[in-house]
Amino acid sequence: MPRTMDDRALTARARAGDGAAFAQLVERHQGMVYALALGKTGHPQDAEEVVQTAFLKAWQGLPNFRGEAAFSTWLYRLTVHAAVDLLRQRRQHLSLDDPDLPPLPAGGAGPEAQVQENDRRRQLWEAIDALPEGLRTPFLLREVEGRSYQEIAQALGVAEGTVKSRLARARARLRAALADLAPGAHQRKGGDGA
Amino acid sequence: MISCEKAELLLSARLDGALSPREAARLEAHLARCPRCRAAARELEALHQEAAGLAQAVPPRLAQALQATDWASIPQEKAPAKKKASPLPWAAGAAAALALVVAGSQLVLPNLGGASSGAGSVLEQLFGGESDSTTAATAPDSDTQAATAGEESLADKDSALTQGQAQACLQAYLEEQGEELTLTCQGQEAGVWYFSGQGAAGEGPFLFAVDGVTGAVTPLPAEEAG
Repeated sequence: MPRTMDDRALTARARAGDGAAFAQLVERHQGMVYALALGKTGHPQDAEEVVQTAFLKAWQGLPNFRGEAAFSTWLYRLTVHAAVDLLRQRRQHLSLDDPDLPPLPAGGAGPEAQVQENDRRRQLWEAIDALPEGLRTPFLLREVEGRSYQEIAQALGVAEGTVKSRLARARARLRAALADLAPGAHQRKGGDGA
Repeated sequence: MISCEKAELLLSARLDGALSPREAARLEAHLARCPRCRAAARELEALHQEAAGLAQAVPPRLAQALQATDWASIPQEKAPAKKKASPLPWAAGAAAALALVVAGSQLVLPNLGGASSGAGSVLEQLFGGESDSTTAATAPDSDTQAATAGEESLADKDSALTQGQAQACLQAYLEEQGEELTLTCQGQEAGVWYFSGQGAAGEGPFLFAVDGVTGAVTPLPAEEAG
C-alpha cells in the first residue's frame, strides 16, 4: 500500500475491513486525536483512554461512515463524544474527597503558571470547537498535524486555494474569539496589582 | 496596494510559508502602511505559536498499544444492507424500518408538510416513485399497515424531535457546511424527518434525513433519486 495514499482512499479500504489501511489512518491522526483528548480531559491517562475509545468507535462504525464529511472531521466528533462520555462517568464515580481524584498536573513551571497555561489551552480548544467544521478541520490538519495544503486538499476533497482561504478564515475567527475572551494573551486578570 | 482582506489571506499563508516573493512584497508594502494589519499579524503569529503548542507527543505506550492493535480482528458494525430498491446509506435506526416499508413497495410517509405537490415526496423521489406512490403515501393498504405498525409505534415513542427541532438541527448542519438552503419538510417516517432544500440560485433539490431521536443529519444522494 503506497504511503502517499490519501485519507479518502484509506478510509474506503478500512470501511471494507482492511485493518492495515485503518492502522495508517490511526498513525496519521493519533497526534491530533491525543491533543484533542488531552485538551478535553486535561489528564494524560484519561486522554489515552479517550484516544483508544475514539479509534475503536471509528473502526467499528466505519461501515456506516458515509464519507459526507472528511474522515478527520468524523474522528474529531468521535473523540469529543468519547471525552464527554468519560468525563460524565468520572463525575458520577468521583466525589471531591476521593483519593483517586487526578492530581494537578506537575511541571517545571509553578502551579499557578501551569494553571494559566492549561486555561489558555482550554480556551483555545473551546474556540476551535466553536468553528464550523468546514474551517476547523483544515485548521487542525494544518496547525496540529502539520499537513501541507496539498494533503489537506486531498483529505477534504477540495482545491488547494480553498484550503488556503479556509485557513485564513479559521485563523481570523479564532483571533477574534480569543481577543474577546482574554484581551492580551498574557495579561493578568485585574485586581492582583501589577 | 492590496486590501486588508487580501492582506489577511496573505498573512495566513505567510504562517504556512506559502507566499511567493511577489506576494510577500505586496504584503510587506501593505503592512508598512496599515497599523491594523500589523496588529493582526502579531496576533496571528501568537495564535500560530499557541496552536503549534496544542500538538502533543503521543505517549509511547499509547502509540505502541495502537500500533499493536489487530484491527481486522475486531468486528465492525454491519453496513446498511444494499438493496436494489434502497441504494441509500440510511441512519442505522431507520434502516430496518425503511427496508421493511420498501420491501412492501408501499409508502406510508405521512404528508405532514403538504409540500409534495410539485416535486413529489422525498421517498417517491428516492425510490423512483411509481405514479401512484403519493396516493399510497396517504392511503397505505392494510397489509402494509400491519407490517409497519410496529415501526410506527416505535417511531412515535422514540421520535423526540418536533419538525421545528429537526429543522433546527438541519440548519445547524448546513451552517457547518457553509450552505444556505430554503428547506421544505417532506414528512416523517419511522422516526426520521425528511427535508428537501433549494439553493438561492436554484441548485438542488438537496435531500436530507434527520434522525428524530439524535438529530443526526444524513444528506441523501439526489443523483440516485430519480
